[in-house]
Order: sequence, then C-alpha cells, then structure tokens
Amino acid sequence: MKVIDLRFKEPGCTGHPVVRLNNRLRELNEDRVLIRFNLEDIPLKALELLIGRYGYRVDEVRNVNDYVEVVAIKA
Amino acid sequence: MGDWCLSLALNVNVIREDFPLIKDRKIVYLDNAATTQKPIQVINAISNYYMKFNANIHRGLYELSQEASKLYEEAHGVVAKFINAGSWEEVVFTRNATEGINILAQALVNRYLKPGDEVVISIMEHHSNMLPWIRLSETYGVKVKVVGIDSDGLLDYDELSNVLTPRTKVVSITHASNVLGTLNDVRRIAKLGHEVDALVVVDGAQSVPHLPVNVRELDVDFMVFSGHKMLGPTGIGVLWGRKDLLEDLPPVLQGGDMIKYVGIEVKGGVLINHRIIYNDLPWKFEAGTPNIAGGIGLAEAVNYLIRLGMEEVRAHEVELTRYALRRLDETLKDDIKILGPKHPELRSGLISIAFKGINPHVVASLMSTKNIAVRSGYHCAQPLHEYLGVYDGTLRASFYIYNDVDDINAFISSLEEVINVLSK
Repeated sequence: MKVIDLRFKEPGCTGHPVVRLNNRLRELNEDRVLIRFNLEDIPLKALELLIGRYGYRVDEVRNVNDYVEVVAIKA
Repeated sequence: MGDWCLSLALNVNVIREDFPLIKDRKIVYLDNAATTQKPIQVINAISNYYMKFNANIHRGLYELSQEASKLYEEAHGVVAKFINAGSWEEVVFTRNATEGINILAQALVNRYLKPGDEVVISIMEHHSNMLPWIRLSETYGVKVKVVGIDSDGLLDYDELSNVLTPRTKVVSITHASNVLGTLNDVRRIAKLGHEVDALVVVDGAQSVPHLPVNVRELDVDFMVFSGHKMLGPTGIGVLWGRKDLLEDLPPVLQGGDMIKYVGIEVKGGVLINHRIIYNDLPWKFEAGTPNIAGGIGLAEAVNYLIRLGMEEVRAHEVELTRYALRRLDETLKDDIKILGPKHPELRSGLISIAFKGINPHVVASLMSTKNIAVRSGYHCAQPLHEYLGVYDGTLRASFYIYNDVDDINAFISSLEEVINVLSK
C-alpha cells in the first residue's frame, strides 16, 4: 500500500503537510493509500474533505502514539 | 447582510466577457495579488505578434524586423505615458518587479553605495524588496535599516524620519503592502528621503495595477512593477528610473543590444585592452533578446486599463474592500483577525486574515474544493508575519476588475463553512 507520510513539516509555504498532501494526491493512482499525519496540522474532517476531492474516502482511522494513520480507499 | 447597498464603479459582467478563463472555469478568483487573469485583447496581441510580426528587434534591416522593433519601442511609450514618466527612455523592460529591484541594487552598488552606507526598507516589504538589499549587506558591507509599522499596519513615519542619516543612500519602500494592503504615502517618503539626499525606490507591484500612479508627481527616483499583476503576461516587468539617474548608472546585465560598440585587443591570446560604448536608454539595461511578445502584451494590458480608467479601478476596489471588511466583521469577527488598516481608503484591494487555532493552508485547501482561489502562507513576506506574531501565515483574498459582490459573498460563505467544520 502506498504511504504518504506528512508527519514532518518542512520550512516554507510549500512545506506544510496539507500542501504536500494536495500535491501527492494529485499524482496518486492507487486504490488504497496510508496517510500518516498530525491532527494539529490537518484536522481529520479537513482530511476527509480533501481526499474526497480526489475520489478517496476514509476506510480506517488509527491513533498511533502522537500521530494518526488513515487508510483511504478509492470511493 | 442588512441594508448594505453597493454601487460598483466597473461593470463586471461586461468586463468578464473579455476573460476566457473566468468565463470557462466558473472559478471565484481572488488571488490577484499573486497574478491576474488576462483579457482576450492581451492574448490576441501576443498571438498576433507571433503570427504576423515575429522577428528579432534592432538587428534586421528587413521590414519584419523593423515592424517588430517599432511595436516593442512603442510598448515602452505606452507604459511611460501610463505612469507619466518623463520619456519612454526611462522605461526599462525587465522580467518582473523582482528582477527590476535586483538590477537596480547591483547598479547602485557599483556607483552610489560604499561600505557603511545605509539602505532603509520597511518591515512590510515583499522578499523581493528585502533580499537584494540584504545581499548587499553581506557582500558590500551596506547597512540595512528596517522601519516598523503601527498597530493598524501603517508605516511608522516618525521612525522613518529618525533612522535617516547623511549615510542613507537609498530608501526603498513598497507603495502598497501585498499582505496588509497598506497604502504608503510615497510622496511623504520621497520628501523625507530626499532631505538626506537619498535615492527613493518604490516597489509598485501592488499599486500600479490598482490605482493611478504618476511617478513625477510622487517625486520618486525609481519604481518597479510586474506586467502579470496588471492583466499582462508573465515574464515582463518594468524598472522605471529618472533619465539622469539611469544614464549615470552602469548596466548590470551584459550582452547583445546594450552596446553601440565593443572593441577588444588581444595579445598572446590574452585580452589586454577593451573599449565599450554602451547603448542609449533604455537598451543599455535590456541585454539580449528581450521578451518582445511580453512587452507588446503589456502595452495592450495598459491600454485595457486606460480604457477602464484607473480612478474607476481604484473606486471599484475600494467599494469591494469596504463591503468585504464589513461582512467579515458582521459574520466572523470573533474567529478571525484582519491585518492592516481598518479603513478601505487607506488600503489596496486585498485582505489578509489570521486565524485562532486554524492553519490558513488548511482553510485555503478546503476553499479550493469549492473553486474559490485564495492564497495562504507568508505571501513572500515572512519577516512581516513574524513581526506580527502570525507564525502560521495568513489567508489572503485580493480583488480586481472582474470581481464583484457575489465573489465576496461566496468567499465569506465558504470561509464561514470551513471555520465551522474545523472548529467542531
């Protein structure tokens, strides 16, 4: 399963996890993808709406220590 | 929305007919401070050049080259008239405002600046009017002073007056902040700068497209702006300078068309002597084959704005801004902080918003799912954001001639919805 790891913030405007998520989703062609992220960067509801734009929906949410994993599948 | 009655100076429905992208994509485009959409007249002018007039300029004796040269030179004249320059020779075409300031900084350091001399900028500057001067501080020992702002986002003119000394050689300040929207009193800045014999440089990237600018009335020495922020194509901008100053400054970019004569003497394979006669203005500063199509496109963009009237453009944006500020205050006052002056007359047509506990990038991303185009981040003004304590950046909506009340209503409705979703 493809993994999109957004836990680490890079400097600058284009480094924010939500910007990177948009960029990765635009290029993605997978049926299932695992997204790792911090809720303080991208609230879960926001992530749902953003992946929905690219035809994905949330299938599973896992709290892992201090971050969250979401399994998204093509709707 | 109460009994708010809005009368806009421009007929947006008619204007939109000229903009293919806005007509076709059903987008609420509110990122005009980043770049503007292009009217069909500009698109056609560029296309027409390539279809009927494409040739290199100033090189060929054949008719096609002469026609291309004439069009390109006339484009300089159109821009010169637009900003009331003394002559078309004072208009140097560059790639954009950023390149204009970089060229100017390098030219000034070769002639006017020495180690220990001072350059004064403000904290609200775009990186393009900050980094070139910082670079000079690193490489040439120039001292950069930074003037602050007050709690309304207005330039601290008292501080500006106090920091100027006989060693201040350049005062370089933006006409309109791309984050705060603050319109600076450039005439006052020019007066202060000239009192210490400093050269006054103005970043007009966010002002020339939006309000009448008269460089001679403002009494400034140099101004830069970008074509793509005023309906023109990307890759073309303007460095305007007083003729006597431009004649005195050495060129920065070396190459073709910026000389009248080049002669070298070589002995044993080594250059031992050379003689260069630089070209007249503005060609001295336009080395190499320029963006001919871009210049022609820019002239068409200027003509489009002249037909609308810059007073009308300004009035249109003041009313949109007034409406937006009032609606934002009515609906989201407790959830957001609006940066910059409270009064629309003191600001240009853009609004930057800071949030409590919500990242602007997330807001902008969610708004984009509703086809609302706004900008998030530092807007190339990171020091300003840190100065203001807004470390996550801001969301910015910026208006232009094809925006109307419906666009603002859509923006605010979407913003409300996003904030509600993210606050749960």
